[in-house]
Amino acid sequence: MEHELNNREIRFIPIHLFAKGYIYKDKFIFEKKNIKDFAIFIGANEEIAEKKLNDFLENIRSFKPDHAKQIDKILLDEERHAKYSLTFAKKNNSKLDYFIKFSKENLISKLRHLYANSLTKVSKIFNPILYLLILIMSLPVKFLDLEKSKADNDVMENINPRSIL
Amino acid sequence: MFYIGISAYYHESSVFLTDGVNINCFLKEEYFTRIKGDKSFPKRSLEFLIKKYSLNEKNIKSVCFYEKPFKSWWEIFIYSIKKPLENKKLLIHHLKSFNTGSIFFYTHLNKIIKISKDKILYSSHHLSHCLYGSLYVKNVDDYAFISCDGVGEGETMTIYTIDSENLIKKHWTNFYPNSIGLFYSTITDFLGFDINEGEFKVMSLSSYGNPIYEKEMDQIFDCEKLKINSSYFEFQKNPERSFSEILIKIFGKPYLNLGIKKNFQKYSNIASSAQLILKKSVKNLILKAKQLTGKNKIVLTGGVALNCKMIHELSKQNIFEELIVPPSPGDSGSAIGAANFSYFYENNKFLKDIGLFPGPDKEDVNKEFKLNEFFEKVSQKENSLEMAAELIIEGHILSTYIDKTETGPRALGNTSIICNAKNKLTVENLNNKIKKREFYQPLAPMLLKEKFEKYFSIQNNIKKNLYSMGTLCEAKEELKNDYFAVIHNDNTCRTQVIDNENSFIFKLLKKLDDNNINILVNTSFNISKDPMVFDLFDVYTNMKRMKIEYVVMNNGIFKAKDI
Repeated sequence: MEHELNNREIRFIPIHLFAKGYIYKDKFIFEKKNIKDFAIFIGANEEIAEKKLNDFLENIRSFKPDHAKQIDKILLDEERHAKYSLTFAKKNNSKLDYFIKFSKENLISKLRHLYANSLTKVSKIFNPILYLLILIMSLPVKFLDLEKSKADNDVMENINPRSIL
Repeated sequence: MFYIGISAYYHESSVFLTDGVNINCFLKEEYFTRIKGDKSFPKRSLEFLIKKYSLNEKNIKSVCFYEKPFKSWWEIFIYSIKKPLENKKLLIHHLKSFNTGSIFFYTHLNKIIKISKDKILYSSHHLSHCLYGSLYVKNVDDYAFISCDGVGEGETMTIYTIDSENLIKKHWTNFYPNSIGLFYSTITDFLGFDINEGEFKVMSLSSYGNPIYEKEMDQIFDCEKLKINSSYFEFQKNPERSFSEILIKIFGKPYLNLGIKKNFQKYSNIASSAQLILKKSVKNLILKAKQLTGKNKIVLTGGVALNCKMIHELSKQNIFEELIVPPSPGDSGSAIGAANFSYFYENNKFLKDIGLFPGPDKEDVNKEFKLNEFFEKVSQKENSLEMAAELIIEGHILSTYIDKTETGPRALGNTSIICNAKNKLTVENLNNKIKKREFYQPLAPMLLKEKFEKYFSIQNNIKKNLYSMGTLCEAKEELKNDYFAVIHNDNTCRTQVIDNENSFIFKLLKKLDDNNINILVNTSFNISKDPMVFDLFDVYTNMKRMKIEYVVMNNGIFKAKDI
């Protein structure tokens, strides 16, 4: 194909979530959860991802066939991850435990999506406010004449090591 | 007392700890998180150091951040707000990211270790680069220190000198957005590679093309005035894309499939033209530094200095007596520069040379690891050398996990994958199947210093950079006969010379010399897009993923078990 799918086009940008660790700011999930719960977390979320990707795929297959091929590949991975994790979880949890934990992860995941979607909506309200602030701030900036020095004859004398400015 | 330097939030977070005498420890956050180029606050690196050196408020003299956090944020803001309509997207993004960036460095640090505010210092971005570079020269007074990268505190290129009485002078600086680093990153983005990661691919690609777009590129970046033409760029407006529609009008569609011959040739030509502009600009920057400082020897730091093809080409222009590029000239090395800043601030003297391997000892990293559960010993320590040589001769690919870790992005033998450079099939297998690199990215050769002249030629003025793979050199006919696989299509190689008689690689090369093998291929011990291996879990998983059978460790040669 003439046009290659590029990482920059298909990458997932979880702007509302933490860059690492998905849900915990200071720790990876596997550091926070024990292995049995971690397997259920992965299994439940991979299943959700699989369903969402399938829906997404059906919508784009006709007009973005190249993208669809890539998503097909990702889907295979999702299926595999979900299967392995849930098999492990079933083996290492009692039936009742498994049912409760799996339902809990599904519910939390739904709440997480709700939170992320609400942030998108909130940004629709807040971005114009921020932009208005920017426009107001831009007025005095026009009159600011901050001269920058290109040279410094004694860097250590003129730097304040305790200042963030 | 310990001095700690930290670089974080922009690219490749890192920490450097030193006592100024004999303890040095450099860590990148990506070693722990396994996220390549991880820019988050180096929490895990600090936790490692706290545990290893029992760090507390009392034994820490100072912690220095590598730049002025607010200045860094403010300079971009003040530039962008002058055109609020044009730069709307970037401004909103910039305001939203206020509370996640380096301004809250002290708060983030205090969550890991309680340190009083009096002990926190802030260096300056380009000064940290300069002070890192100063560690790799004997007489700082002889050199002009040039720092050249994307942007830091609103500055993009800076020229410093340090005199014999340690007086640091800044002679000249260039301001955002006039950045040759951002120009090259934009081309990297346009060609479909990741910014901050893909620049070296653009450099490799450039050897396959001709600079037929030189005139167009001259319009985009003025090499004489070192000024950018902002109409071709969007990095100053849009956080999601760095090039503008005008650039697309000139060069056509971005992100084309390089697997198609005509696309490959076109993109090689674009890369070659960008490489030429980079060379011309840095040449003019060096000439400016010479004129302003009167120095004929240069230390070049900042991410731009990682372009070893440019270093090689500049060496032929006879514009300097010597050019030094330290092993980790980018932002991660600035953690070392920041520690040097705090050491200098407290003691009015600089740190001493920290060598090529200031990382932690491999044993310290793996104290809790149960080696026998994952690895099977196939050779005792005393027979390691003999067996490693035999395996190399037989055509095996070996990995090394020995002694201390390297600083820079290039593995220098302690955390490497090596094989016989004579064996074309093995080299191809290593590059394409094991490392999964692109075909246009050449592998690097390593050899004993005494053998260098036999196979390679290089200008004397950049020779010192061969120890850290900081430059390219030219292949002689002798190399083409036996070691064709390590030569790039422009007849250059990114060679590393070894002269440390105590190192394993030195002894191995000596041993192989008896069997007429003078050159090994050396590539970093990681699979494509992953950070270099750090602990034995990484070693095990990487061996399994890359199907590498043997690893040389300090206490013998091991095979990864099937578990």
